[in-house]
Formats: sequence, structure tokens, C-alpha cells
Amino acid sequence: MNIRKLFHMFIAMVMGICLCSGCSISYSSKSSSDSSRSSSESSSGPSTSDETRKAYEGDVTTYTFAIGTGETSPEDFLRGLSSIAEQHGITDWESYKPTYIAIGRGLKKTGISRDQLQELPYLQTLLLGQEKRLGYIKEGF
Amino acid sequence: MPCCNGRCLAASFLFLLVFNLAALNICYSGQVYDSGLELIYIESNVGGASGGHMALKINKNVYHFQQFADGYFRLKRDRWNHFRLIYNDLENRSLFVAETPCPSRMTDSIEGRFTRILLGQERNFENLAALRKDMELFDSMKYGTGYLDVEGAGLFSAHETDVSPYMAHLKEDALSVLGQTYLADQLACVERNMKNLAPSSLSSISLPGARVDIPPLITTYSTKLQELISLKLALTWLRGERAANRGILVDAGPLEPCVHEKLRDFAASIRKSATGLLASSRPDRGRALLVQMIRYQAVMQSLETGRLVITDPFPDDTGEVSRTALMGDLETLQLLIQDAESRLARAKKNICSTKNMDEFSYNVLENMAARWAEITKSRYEGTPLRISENIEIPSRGKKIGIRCFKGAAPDIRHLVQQARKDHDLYAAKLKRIYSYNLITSNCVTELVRELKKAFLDEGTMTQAFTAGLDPGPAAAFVPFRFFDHWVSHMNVLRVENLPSYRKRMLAGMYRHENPLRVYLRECNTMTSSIYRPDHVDSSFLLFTDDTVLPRPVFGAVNTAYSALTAASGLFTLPFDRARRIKQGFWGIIYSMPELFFANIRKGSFTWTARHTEN
Repeated sequence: MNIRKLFHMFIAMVMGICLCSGCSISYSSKSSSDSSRSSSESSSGPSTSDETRKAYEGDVTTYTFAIGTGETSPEDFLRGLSSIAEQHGITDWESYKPTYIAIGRGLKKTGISRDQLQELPYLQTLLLGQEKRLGYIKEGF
Repeated sequence: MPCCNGRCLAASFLFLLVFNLAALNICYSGQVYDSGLELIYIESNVGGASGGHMALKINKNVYHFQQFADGYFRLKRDRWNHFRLIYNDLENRSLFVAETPCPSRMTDSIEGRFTRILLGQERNFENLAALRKDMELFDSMKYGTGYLDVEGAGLFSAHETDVSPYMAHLKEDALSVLGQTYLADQLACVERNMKNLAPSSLSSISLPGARVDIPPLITTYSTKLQELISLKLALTWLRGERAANRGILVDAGPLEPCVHEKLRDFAASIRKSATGLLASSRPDRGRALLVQMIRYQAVMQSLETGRLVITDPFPDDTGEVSRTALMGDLETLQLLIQDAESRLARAKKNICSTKNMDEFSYNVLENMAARWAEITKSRYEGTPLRISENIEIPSRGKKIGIRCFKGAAPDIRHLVQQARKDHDLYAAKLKRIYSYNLITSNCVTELVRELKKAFLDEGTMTQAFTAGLDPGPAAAFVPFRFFDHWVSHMNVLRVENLPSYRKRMLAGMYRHENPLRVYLRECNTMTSSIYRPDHVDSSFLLFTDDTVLPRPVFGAVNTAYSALTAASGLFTLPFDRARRIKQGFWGIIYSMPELFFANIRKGSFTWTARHTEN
């Protein structure tokens, strides 16, 4: 084996090591990583409430835009909102006005007209007997 | 590597070397960007990071594809501060940030697409969890009584008889606003619905399509049953038939007067919220109601005792750090306690400076207080430390017995089969969508794929972006090569180097101390004052990430040192489960590139001061 071949072999090994795992691996999500480092990662904890609010509203807007005029049932729409809210640390999203404004923003992106808003089937349960909520949605529209 | 001969490998190696050299010379201005599109290359390190990593920063969020412990390869959204803590500080990897001009319409489009992927991902894994729950429930029902884990059911105790007087406040509100018979009527309605809800399999499930789609929610039998059980429990307990689970209420230290004042107002808003939830049409309102009820108990107890009482928000399946691991590193533990203390103080300060405390701010306070209480308890009582990276809502679960209807055993067996089939089908589809492949589906390829689609959706794929996102086969999947391609094709405004934690600390020492003394002290793992050997790292003696010319010599020393570690591991084999042998072996492997001027290993940290946030 000549020196050149040996060199190539080592280079290949170096590159192999560089690439063997490709990208980073996350062990932090709900898995037990038994080291003090995972306590450090955990201690970072949640962001400030302002950042969380903004992220929540952004997610609701994108969610509503993604559903658009689709055939989601009213109950599933509500369950979807609950799931997003939970990821951002809130349970009572219904009494939080910006939820409706964010829904309005998402619906605006779909290109539907303002008059069609109250006819969307999946909004029916949420808006039943709640005139104010429709007003907030229109505010974000 | 496709189409890569010896010359190509040599070129790649040279690039790696030059990149390492160049990286050392880019000046660090210490500035942190707040807006725009920024591509981030994260240097390699040992473990699962030897290929480097790639991420995209938009405003304060970082998006990156990552392998998770469950084997799925998913998109992750991190706050910039958190991302820097993990990669730049704890993993001790330098970051290279390429600030790239991009119209805000396009960054909005990219962020929108990534958010959509995240929502679709969340929905997909929720669906899979729901299918698994159905499968497990039906399986347990085969032998008579089945069991369903109901989130929130563990917040109240079935045994404690000391019913809280505070629940009476919520009950009074409900009865006065919704009517005297409301709770009884609702309870009767829920019981009727439960009786009518027979176990059934899904007529058909809609399988997930593309990564960017948000699939329809799969509402299974166990989901509906869980919702009804939660609501029934909430209504029953609201009527005053159960006491709060004392074990879930945590004392988190003294209550400052201004927080006391804000909590008083917040108590009033919880009362309003509870009544609102009772009247709501949300199918999942039962669980939300349980959370608000226990929080009301905690807030009222805080006001009464003058101590901050919160509800434990850690989920049942959260990760833990063992007592042994914690006690083996008391110094880190002490620093973490101080850190938790200052974070809790900051949360309280934020609350005091806001006009009204809402659920968002209370939840942050709850999470920070719980983390502080948890780590203090671990330190002084020697209990394992529960950890969570996410923001959590109290959700203590409990297994509830579900009786199987008589004579239905054959149906149950059919249900189990069907539920397993549905679950496996869905899981197989997810494996295809969220799979990792070194060359065709990694952190670079997926980021580029989604960027291209975002630009195409927006109809703004300019010539510069077309060239920048098409690096050719040799650079399309290697993080540092793609980064170089991006920098040379995307009209990048500047590339900023954010040096790793150790390099930043070293730079400070060089400024204030005798450089030779600093070098001699910090160049090795034995006398370094910055680095403390961590069992996560492989065995090594000399740092090679801040030196270039002596690297092969240092590499040879590291190889010999690792070989000695591995050999000594033979003697400790019966006691350490071959830990030393493994450390030595990986030490040799990661020393090899150093013989040829390349560096992968940087050493990592269990704790660092939070410079990134200041």
C-alpha cells in the first residue's frame, strides 16, 4: 500500500466520521437523558409570556389559513385550537380575544370575503350566540 | 458520497481544513440579529453531531430538522436564546451565521410554511397517540375491565375527604350564572352520553399525505371517552365531592406583595373562566375545567398563606435525571439552583410590571416556580430531577377503569385487531414522511427542499435563490459545504462567527491574564479551569479546536491517551459497564482526524453561565 493510498484511506475515514451521524440528534423531548446537561437544557424552560402569546397567535393564524374553506367539523376545529393553545401553555383560549383576531387573519389569507365568514361551517359552534366573537374575527380580517 | 473519488475527498478535506482556519479568523462582534433570514452552520462535535448541523433563523425563531430519540426526523422550532444555549454553550460548538437579504414577504412565506409543517407534524403524532390509546384500551378490555389513562384525573384525590372551601366559590358562580340545576343537568347529560358511547373502531382513517399538510384529526373512541370522563370528574368535583390532590400542590417560596396583588386579580379571572368553560361547547372543556379548578385552589392557598403555591405542571412521562448523576456533579447542581432562582425572580418581576396577569403569564410563573422547587427538592432531599424543555400545563393523569359490556368479548377481539391495524398503518406512513437518510433526507436536504417550495409558493424564486438552493450533488447534503455554497451565491451581507463557549471564555482570559500561562493551563483537560471532564465526551487530553499547526502532534497525544484510557477500562470493567473502554475507543476515533489537521471534538459542558441572554 503506497503512501497516497494510505492518505486517501485516512481522508475517507475523516470524512466518514464527519458524516457518520449527519445532523444533530435531540434527546431532550420527553426522553430521559441521565446527565446534568439535560437539567441545564430543561432549566432554560419556557420563553417569556410575550413571546408565547405571539407564537400562539401566529400558529392559530397558520392553522386557520391551512384549513381555509375545508371540510373540518366544528368540533375538530375546536379540538385543533385546544391543541395549539396547550402547546403554548393555555387552556382557556376561548376567553382570549386575540384568538379570534388571529383566526380572522388566517381567514383573510384564504381570500374569502368578509360576508362569507359567518357561513363557514366549522365556525358555527364557536360563534353560536357569540356576536362579539364574530366581531373580533372581523377585526383581524 | 456519490461520485467522489480520491481527489474529491482530498479537496473536501482541504476545504474542511481551510474552513476550520477561516472560522478562527472571522471576527466576533458579539451582536445578535433580530430580523431577516439567516442560515446557521453549526460546527461538528462528538456524539450525534459529527457531521455538523444546519438551521435557519427567522426573527427570533430557529427552524431545523433533527433526529429525535423515537427515531423520527422532524422539524423543530427553538427560540434563538435556547438554541444558543444548547449548541453554542452546552455543546460548545461555534456557529456561523450568514445574514441573507430577503424580502419580508418571502420570510413570511418561509415562516408560514415551517409553521404549517410543525402544526401538521403535531397533528400527525397526536393522531398516532390517539390510535395507540385505542389499541391499548381495547387490548386491556379483552379480560374484563379495561383501563384508560385520563389526563387531569390525578389533579384531585379520590381518597382525601378534606374538601376545599374554594371549590364552593366556583360552584356558586356557576349556579348563579347558569342556573341552579345546571351542574346536575350537565352531569346527567354526560352520563347519558357515556352510556350511549359504545366501543367502536374507526370506519376509515385518513392517512397523512405530504409533510406540509395538516391532516384531519382522528377522533377515536378513547378520545371521546376521555373527554366525557374529564367533564364528569370536573362536574362531580365542582359539586364538592372531592378534594384537591395535595401531592400536586407545591410550595415555591415566599410571595412578594406585588405578586400577591396580581394573584388576587387572577383568582377573579379564573372564576370567570371556569363559568365560561362550563357553558362552552368545546368537546374537551372537561380537562380545561379541571386545570382551572386546581389552579384556583393553588392561587387561593397562596393568598391565604402568603407563600407561592403552584400546581405541579410536569407531565407523567417526563424525563428524569437520576440521583446518582446529580450527586456526582454537585457544583453544576448548585449553579442550576441559582439559575432557577434568578429565572423565577425574573418571572415575578415581569408579572409585577404588567397591568393584568393573564393565563400566559401565570403559566410562565407556574413553570418557573415548579422548576425551582423541583431542583431544590432534588438537591436537599436527594430525589431524581424531573426535566422538561417545554412549557407545561398541569395534567397529572390517572388510570380509570372501563368496564367491558357483557358478552362482547368477540367484538373486543375484533376491535383490538382493527385498532392495531390502523395504528400500524399510520405509524408506517409517518416513518416514510419523517425518516432520516444520511444523503437524501438530512438537516440540509430537508431545509433546502422546504425553502424551495416556500419560494415557489410565493412565486418569487429569483435567479440568486435558484442558484443558492441548487448546490449540486456533492454539496447538497453536507452542512459545511452547503453553507459555503450559500455564502457564495446568495448575496450574503455578512457572515458572523459566534464562537463556542470555551473559545469565548478563552478570549476573555487572554485579554486579562498572561497569554502563555492561560494557554498552558487551558490547552488540556487536566488543568483547564473552563472545562470539566464530562462522561458524555470521549476521552481526550489536549484541545485541538483552537490550534491548527500543532494539531497532528496533539492528535497523536490524544490517540495515545485514549488508548491508555481504553486499556485501563479493562480493570474497571466489572464496575462501570465498560464506560471507560467506550470512552477510550471513541477517543481514538475522534483523535484520528486531528492527525490530519481536522478537528471534530471540542469538549462539551453540563452547565454554562447564560451569557447568551445578557
